Amino acid sequence: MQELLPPSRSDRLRSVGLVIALLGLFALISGLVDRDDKVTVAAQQQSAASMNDVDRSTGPIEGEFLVSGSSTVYPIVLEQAEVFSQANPGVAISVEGPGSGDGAQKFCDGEVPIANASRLYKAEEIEICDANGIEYIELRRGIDGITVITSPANDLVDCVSFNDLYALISEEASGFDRWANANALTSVWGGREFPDVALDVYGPGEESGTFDSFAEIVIEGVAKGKTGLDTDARDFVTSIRPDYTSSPDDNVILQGIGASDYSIGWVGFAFAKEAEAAGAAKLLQVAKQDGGACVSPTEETIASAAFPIARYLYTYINADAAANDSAVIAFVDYMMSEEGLQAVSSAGYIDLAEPDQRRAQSIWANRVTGPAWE
Amino acid sequence: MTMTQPAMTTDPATDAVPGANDVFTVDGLNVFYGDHHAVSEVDLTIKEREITAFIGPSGCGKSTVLRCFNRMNDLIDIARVEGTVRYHGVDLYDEAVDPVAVRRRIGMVFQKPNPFPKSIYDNVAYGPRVGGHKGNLDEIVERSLRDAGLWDEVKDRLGESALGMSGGQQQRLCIARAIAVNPDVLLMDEPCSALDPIATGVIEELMKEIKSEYTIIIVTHNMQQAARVSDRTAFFTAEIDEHSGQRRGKLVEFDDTGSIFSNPGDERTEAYVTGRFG
Amino acid sequence: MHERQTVSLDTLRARRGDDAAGHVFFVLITSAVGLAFFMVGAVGVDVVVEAWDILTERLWDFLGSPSSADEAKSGVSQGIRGSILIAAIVILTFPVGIGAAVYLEEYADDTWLSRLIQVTVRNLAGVPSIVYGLLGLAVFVKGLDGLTGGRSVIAAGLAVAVLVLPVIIITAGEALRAVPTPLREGAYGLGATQWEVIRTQVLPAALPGILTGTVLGIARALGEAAPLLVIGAVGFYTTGNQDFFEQLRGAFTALPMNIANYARLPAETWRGHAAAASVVLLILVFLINLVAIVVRARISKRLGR
Ligand SMILES: Nc1ncnc2c1ncn2[C@@H]1O[C@H](COP(=O)(O)OP(=O)(O)OP(=O)(O)O)[C@@H](O)[C@H]1O
Ligand SMILES: [Mg+2]
Repeated sequence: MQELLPPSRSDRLRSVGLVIALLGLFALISGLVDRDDKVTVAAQQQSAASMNDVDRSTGPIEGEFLVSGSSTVYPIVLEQAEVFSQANPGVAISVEGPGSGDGAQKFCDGEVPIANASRLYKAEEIEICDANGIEYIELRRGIDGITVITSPANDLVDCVSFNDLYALISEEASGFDRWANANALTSVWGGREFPDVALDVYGPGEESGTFDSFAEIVIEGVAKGKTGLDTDARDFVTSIRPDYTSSPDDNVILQGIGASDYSIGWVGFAFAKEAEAAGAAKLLQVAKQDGGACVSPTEETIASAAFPIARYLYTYINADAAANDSAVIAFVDYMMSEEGLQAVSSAGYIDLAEPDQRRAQSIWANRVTGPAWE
Repeated sequence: MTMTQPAMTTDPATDAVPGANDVFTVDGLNVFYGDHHAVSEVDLTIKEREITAFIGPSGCGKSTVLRCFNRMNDLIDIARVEGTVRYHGVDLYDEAVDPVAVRRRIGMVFQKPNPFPKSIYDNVAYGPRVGGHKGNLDEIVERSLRDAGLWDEVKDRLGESALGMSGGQQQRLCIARAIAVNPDVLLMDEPCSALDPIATGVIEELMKEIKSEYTIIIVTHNMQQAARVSDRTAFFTAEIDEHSGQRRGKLVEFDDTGSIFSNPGDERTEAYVTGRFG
Repeated sequence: MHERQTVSLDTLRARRGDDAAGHVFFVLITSAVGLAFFMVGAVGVDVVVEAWDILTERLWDFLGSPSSADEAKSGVSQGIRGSILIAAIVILTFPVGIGAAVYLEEYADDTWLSRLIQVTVRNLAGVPSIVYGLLGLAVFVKGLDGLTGGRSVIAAGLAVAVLVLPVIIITAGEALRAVPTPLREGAYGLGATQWEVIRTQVLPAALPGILTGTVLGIARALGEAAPLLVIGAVGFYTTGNQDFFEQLRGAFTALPMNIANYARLPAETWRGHAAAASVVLLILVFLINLVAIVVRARISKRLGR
């Protein structure tokens, strides 16, 4: 009898046991490592602070940080980070460009000490920073013109006014698939008449600072009466039509623009300039008011604010890190130096006017926290 | 574990069994596949060192009953066995019985040759290896292949894949593989159905030879084969159940092979062995 | 008595139109295959043409340099490293997937629970990869940051591994199910235990099929960009004084991320970088698959198939 008796379920039990043991081991390891490693941001910064004094006196700077935020600003920071890290090989620095909004989220969660934005932080983003006790230094970095573009084949339109753009791209223009549809709106305020050709609209998606800036400057500008329309006589919307082709990738937008003869869209100046040079897009002149002066987007017109759709680029610095983290301090010092600032123009953006530049440098030098720019 | 065969026949703790040379005693065996009552109320006794043949029309449950002797039906999720199958007095379906230990003592050869995708040598050595055999495998492999009448054909290509052999060679390899673990009983489910008359003859000879050491149960559709090799023959048939309309297998007659073929007690047996019954 | 049949060549001659449907079908599938080849070829040619200058002028420099703001210096070394590490982590988790498949196919009883698990696994294979990114963010970046170091290549590798796991479980399960019953019965019949049957017969017989699944899995793991974005693959990083293990838990990037980043930069000249990085990714996938295919072929040969 004995020989027929070995436990019949032993195999199964053994395999279950093995799985449980592995899971346990995994939990144990992660628990152990966790304990060593889970220091709060504050503690990290404290230790950085104490190391800081030593570093300054004894030698090369060490540290580790991530720069997040606007994809528009990414090329500027990429170049700065590259040059900086050659001079400071002890610093592990990484740069990403998921978008202004994503960057704001990480910044106000305390996850990154530096975040770029192609617009000022919104009130609700500031609230999150406040709620998490994150103080920030707000630095203006440069200027990006938002350029309205069409296909090089479009010979019917050369210049558009804010009101025209409202009639073509605002939420009131939802469903318009021919330029002539917009005449229903322009006729309300006695604006221009568009030809009857197909209308295809391309632009960045909502996560993009370029989207926000365009809506704010152009559509909201019209809605607030800044272009001389009577905003009491009728209701204007402040948002962009939902039925346009959007892409987070500016190059995709440019492809769309080139693909249809009477397209219209908007992208950052650096992209538009490249596209124009490559014969892939035609940059439209823009007039703020109907009948006003049509201005071509150029480095000069954007810097002088003669071109009406321009936005500033910003960088937010965690005030704690700005006080305690030697690596972050050294990087921002470089970023705001004359040498570092050259990255703005070499990435295709426009330098701040002299007074703004000085002001930004002094805000950094004095570690002024809170909203600093209008 | 040791493989001394008669270990259990003398075990005083087991129920007293009539006839000390009874290997299997089957009592009220019923097998179900899900709702299908495939075999009903089979009683029979298998004697030591005899060849017992199972015959009967297709679908009457011969394979099903055969697979009860080494708990092969355990592998079929929906199969359920009722009744008792005693092996040297031990109830094979007792909770405490390990089917693996059962199968090491009760080997099986299948209807279709199923060599492993390994070398000829490894096929034969497989059973002893999983059985934890530590001694010289070469000897076991050679003896088993000789017993199966295959040695001379393959002795120079033991390292080659078994899948490169002919169907008849493969089946003899499967027999060699089964006897390599030195079992007590050999269950053979239509072992010759894929073989030519010569290969069949070799296997029949083999069965007669090893009969002195093994108890053999063979399922066959070949009347002459049953008549030639077996000592006793069980005739199964299937009847339509009037309630469910299902085909249900049952044992009709079980007797000396001579009686079954020359003097059957049941007219259905007579019809079948004389070829008047499908 | 039958009349003797007269057979002339005419009665046997193939007649036009007899198998019209078959001919139509043949034309359809040939043109479908042709179209598929044409599209793959067109994409391939397009990418290689764009990548040509970089691949011919500075191939090794491109493979060996990190990303840079300077077009003439920018390369994909960090992306290659990240992709290989991710693939390595994914490969390390394959035994988990194969183990799960063995459990589900061989051990688990056929209960409503095991069926639910099977259906769930099948559905998980169809979940968009971005969802795995979010899962990875919650579990590996936030939950287990002590182990992974947060937004690291380990977290990314694990997230992608979880994404690939259902594919591995399903294909391994199919391969196990395809192992012929007689093979199992033969082994059981010789007194093998369930584990012995699985180890010595079922797994070796299923291995070619399982490896096919892993080839698909690795290809998918290397190509995924969405989870990496969510986990936080960066565009550029330096490692400072970090040692190897600190680097594993630090910033990372991967080839799909390199491609996306290059594609997003303004100047036309960056298109070549994006294309060249795509070619590198394709070749990497191809090389890893080649290894798996060679291994599979050797195993199949050893099994005598
Ligand atoms: N795995 C199974 N699942 C469900 N039903 C089965 C299974 N195996 C056998 N059966 C059924 O049990 C009955 C008996 O089958 P079995 O294989 O025992 O017949 P057999 O006498 O061996 O026939 P044959 O001579 O054709 O081999 C048949 O009705 C068959 O359909
Ligand atoms: Mg049968």
